[in-house]
Amino acid sequence: MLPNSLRKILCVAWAVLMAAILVGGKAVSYEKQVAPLLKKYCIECHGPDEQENGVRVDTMDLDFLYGKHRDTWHDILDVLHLEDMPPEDEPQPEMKERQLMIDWITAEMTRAAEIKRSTDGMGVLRRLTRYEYQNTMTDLLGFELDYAANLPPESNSHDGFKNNGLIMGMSSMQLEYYLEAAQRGLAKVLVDHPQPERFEHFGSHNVARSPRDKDTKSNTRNIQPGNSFWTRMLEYPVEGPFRIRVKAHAVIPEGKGPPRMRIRIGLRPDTYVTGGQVGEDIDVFATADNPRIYEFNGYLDHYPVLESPANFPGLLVNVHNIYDDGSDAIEVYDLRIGDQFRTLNDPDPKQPWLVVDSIEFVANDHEIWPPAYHRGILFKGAEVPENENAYAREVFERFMARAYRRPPNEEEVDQVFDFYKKVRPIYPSFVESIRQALSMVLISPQFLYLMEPLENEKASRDLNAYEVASRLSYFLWSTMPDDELSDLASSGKLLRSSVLKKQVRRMLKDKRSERFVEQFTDQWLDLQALDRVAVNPQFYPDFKDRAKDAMRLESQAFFKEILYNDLSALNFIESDFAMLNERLAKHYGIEGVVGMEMTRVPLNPEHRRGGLITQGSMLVGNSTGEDSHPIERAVWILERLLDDPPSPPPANVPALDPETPGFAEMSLKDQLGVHRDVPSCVNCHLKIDPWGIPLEHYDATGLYRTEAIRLTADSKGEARNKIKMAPLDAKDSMPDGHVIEGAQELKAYLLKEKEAEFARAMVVKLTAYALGRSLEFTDEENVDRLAKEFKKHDYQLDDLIEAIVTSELFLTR
Amino acid sequence: MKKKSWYMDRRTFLRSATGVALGLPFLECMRGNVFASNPSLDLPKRLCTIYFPYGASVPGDDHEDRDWGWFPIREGNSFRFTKVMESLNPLRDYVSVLGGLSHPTGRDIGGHDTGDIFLTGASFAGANFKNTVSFDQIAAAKYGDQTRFSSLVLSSDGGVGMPTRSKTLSFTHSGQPIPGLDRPQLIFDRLFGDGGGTIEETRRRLGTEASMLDQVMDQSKSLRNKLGKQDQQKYDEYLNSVREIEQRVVRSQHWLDVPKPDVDASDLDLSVSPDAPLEYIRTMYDLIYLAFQTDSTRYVTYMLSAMNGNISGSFSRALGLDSQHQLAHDAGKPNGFVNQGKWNQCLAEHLARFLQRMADTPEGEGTTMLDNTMVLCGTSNARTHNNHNYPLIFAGGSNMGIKQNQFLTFNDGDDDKDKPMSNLLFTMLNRMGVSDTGFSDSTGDLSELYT
Repeated sequence: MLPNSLRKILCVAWAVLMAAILVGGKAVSYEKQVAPLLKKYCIECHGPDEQENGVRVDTMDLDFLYGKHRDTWHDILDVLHLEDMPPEDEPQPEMKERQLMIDWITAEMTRAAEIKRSTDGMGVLRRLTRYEYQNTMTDLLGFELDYAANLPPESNSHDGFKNNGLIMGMSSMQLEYYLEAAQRGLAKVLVDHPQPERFEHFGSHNVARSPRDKDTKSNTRNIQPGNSFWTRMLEYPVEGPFRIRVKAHAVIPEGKGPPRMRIRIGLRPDTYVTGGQVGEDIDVFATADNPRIYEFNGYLDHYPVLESPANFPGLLVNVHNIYDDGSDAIEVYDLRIGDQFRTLNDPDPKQPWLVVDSIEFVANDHEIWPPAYHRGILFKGAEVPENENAYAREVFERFMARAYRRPPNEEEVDQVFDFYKKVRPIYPSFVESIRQALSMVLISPQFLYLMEPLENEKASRDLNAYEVASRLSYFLWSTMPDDELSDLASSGKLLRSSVLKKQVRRMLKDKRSERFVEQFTDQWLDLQALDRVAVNPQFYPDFKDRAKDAMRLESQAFFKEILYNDLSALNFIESDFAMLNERLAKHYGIEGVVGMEMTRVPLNPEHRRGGLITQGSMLVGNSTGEDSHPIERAVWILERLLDDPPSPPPANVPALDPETPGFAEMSLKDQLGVHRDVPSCVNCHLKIDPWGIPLEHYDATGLYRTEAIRLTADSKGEARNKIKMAPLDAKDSMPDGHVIEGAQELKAYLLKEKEAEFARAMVVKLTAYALGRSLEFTDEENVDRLAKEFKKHDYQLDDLIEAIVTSELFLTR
Repeated sequence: MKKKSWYMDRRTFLRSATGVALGLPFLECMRGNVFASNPSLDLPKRLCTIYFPYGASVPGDDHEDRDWGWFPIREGNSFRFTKVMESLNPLRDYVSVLGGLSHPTGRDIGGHDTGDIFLTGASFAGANFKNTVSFDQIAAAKYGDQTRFSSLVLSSDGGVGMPTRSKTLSFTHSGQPIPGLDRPQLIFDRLFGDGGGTIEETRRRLGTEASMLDQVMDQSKSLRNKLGKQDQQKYDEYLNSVREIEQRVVRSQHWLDVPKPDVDASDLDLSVSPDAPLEYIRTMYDLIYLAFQTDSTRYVTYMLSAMNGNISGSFSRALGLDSQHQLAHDAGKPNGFVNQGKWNQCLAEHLARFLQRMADTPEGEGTTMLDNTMVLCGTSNARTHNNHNYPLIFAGGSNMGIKQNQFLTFNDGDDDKDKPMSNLLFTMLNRMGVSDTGFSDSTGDLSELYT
């Protein structure tokens, strides 16, 4: 068995030889089958005698890739779909005949698109993605700043990934921002000013919003969810590293989770907006008799430390209890809620408190000057040796080896050095000249792109150890190789299979591998869809947008659980556990979960959860914000879990109109039925709908339901404000005849009938992400081998990752 | 280091790519309006577009709150503004309200996905979210070299955002979003500041950049030969980008000796942030006015507020109303149109103030700055989730033949008969002399708009 996407492409390759194309598994010949139909029904007006609209069907160019009739074929497809042609008063083709023409044109178009995308399995030069750039700059310069702030967002490739070289663009604006970020960073990292004074502040009582306010809450240190402890510095530094230490403990009532602490800095107290989070949230478990000190580190330069308005002077550090049990009592994230002050002196004993003893703020606590990040580049510190040029050259060599992820060659160092010599006389300071030269390195293609140049004109070759180290590091860490990987690359040991495997294990154990989890799940499962859907509060007054954050985390935590605990990937289809926190569990109606941390919760059938397709991220992300969207849900399953995306719908299909009277009372399946009445839609929808209809019991917020809510208007153009309930129908039959009702049966069907397809899809998706390119039919053999391995290892993801990394696909270009 | 032969070619290219003379500036008088004091100058043709999200208040004609609707009320052959546009009454001769336009490509996409294509008309079919060039950038590419800045892209939320939730209205010829500037101080400094240094320092910086880019180009060229064929295609995007920045540096060097206009900023509150929405919006309009007045640029887009704008979404709260999103969704509820109408009214008032300032600024013989400027302000939904019948205000431009004081509905009141929004964008470009062959998916022009 081949993965579906590959099978299609193989069919294409085969079809080229056979001068026919496979349509639904059968070869269709243009000459023998399609041309006679066109002749029979169209030639009278579009033939040798007449060419209405300039279309002549008997002399069509069959090259869908570059031929002159590509657009005409498109038009023909449209009129066939919409049954605009042949005209009503002319003889009509049979349904089957019409479908044959449609299918043949569609298949040819798909083939042309595949060929156009094809890179012969070579991959295409790819630059760093936005997030890879951010991580790489931070690691390379050793200083945290928002380097990627102004870079344009990445698009997704047709198979869903952002790191696909083919789709990643470059523009002058973008390059200007790379230069700007490099200069901004180097100005911070390479210092030429005297050591700033160490700054220290100690706050032991909770201050009011404004120093002019009466200090009503000076003794308030019991912080209930949604409330904050503040400390204010009227004079403060605006740059340099800082450290915040919070001494705190928790008071946790029976049946509640620990308070979660979030630190923010640079908040505007007049409006409660902006201010940035420092470090990661922490659940506080320490008890009153044994309070703990929690430490957070950052760089002031990374935060919008604003000029404060006159009424609210000073820099504020905010310790926030963001515990959220999902109840209405808590408005956790909205710092604008002025009401929080009311409860400060009388916190709710039923909620967990964060008890803050004190906040210590220390900035510019440099043990050594110039600081370590400066010495990471200018390794002699403040000293400029007599032979300035030789020193500069060595600085470049060292820096370029890290920036280019391999030792630079002589010529490359020459080029940077030449530029340096050119600018050195016009800048008074040595450090400034070095900054300029390193900026040049940071806008060079060797840094911005993962370059794998040809050798001896040969198209394909083995990667060298440095290139393997880079691929591996961007695959699992989304950043440049660390010292250990670089050392193994320079000794060449990395190319040994045993060393590679050991590195994979080491890297997966490292915290940085969470970036892989986040990025891969985000892109594979399209978790961003959550942000694109606005849940309509008229339909779901109880739904809070912050539940979406928990849904995204749920899917990521689920992937993490499976990856880090060697569980079978079949859990993605169906599992007897879910990863939930209290907030999300409450939304789903599952009891007994406390705390903000996503934890493993055993499931029973009444919960109606398990696997990916009944997770909020999928259900909400593929809804309209008002109702389920069975088509989008179906397409999601076909694309993401089975790698078998349906062809896109033909243009000009009228959308389902929710404002048609009477429409609202129908079940969605019946509404789709209206759609299916258009004969040319039927064929595709018979293959799509049964994947989405069984999920009809889940509404636009991902909750189980037995009826659908509809809003209708009295008449067209009026606002829809009449609530009506419509019946549900979650039963449909698959093209193979299986009748499926409800989510459970759908999952069972997937496991029983589609295990191999799912496993292959998993291989294809993971490999595409690892390689930064789409897979093609030339990769088929390799994918085959990987899928076999995957099954042999009980579908464990870490083993699959190891197999991918040691495969020919990964180690050659 | 030996210069390779292509070096000269590239310089030649730079010269030809930016037009014959790189438009050496004529800003001798830096205070006040350039054109008022130089009657000999050709009058400028300017373009300014302002966008807000989620549609506007559009109650049915019989609705009791009809007077809070965006669209004027027809009275015989004439019409009267509702409460929403009351503030525009003194400017009636300069202003029209347009309905019945929408992007065909936007009609079937998500209700909150249409902001990106407001000025481009791009198709997001297949969910590829690849945008195309916005109409202001077409004008900027053609005539942008006549001013110090080819265009100015503003946004209350700043940056680019993500596809379908872009925080900018402007896109390059390759469809890349152009980051919107959001901080008044930054915008002012960019327009009128001295770059944080003396002219000598700026000259040095530009010189350094030019030689850095030279060097990068040098080494990059040689790398290209080591790449496979497909990689080379991709690599050329990079090389083109380097070339374009070089052009920009050359352009900046040309303008370097022309001092930036000396602008009096004492009336401006440049420290204002979007946390004070009304003051902020006013300042942004003031900056646009200043940019026009000093002829620093002729093409401006301003995404006053974006779909899912984290910052701008709550602008309406400044009036004690809900967030814009909530206002739009609640429009059908009791008092919903009134609440949304109040926010629209506030938007119209800010626009009116901006237009009035332009109308009070003489330019040319007996005409004003507003006569030389086409202003388009609107949104890309009628109601939320209904991507038809964009509520639009169109103002100014009489020196380009624009006919104002009209209320035009291009769809006979039937959303399904909307005309393409690109027809309006094309008409504007056409009246400016930028294009006579159409824009994006335009099917013609709107002859009702000009004489």
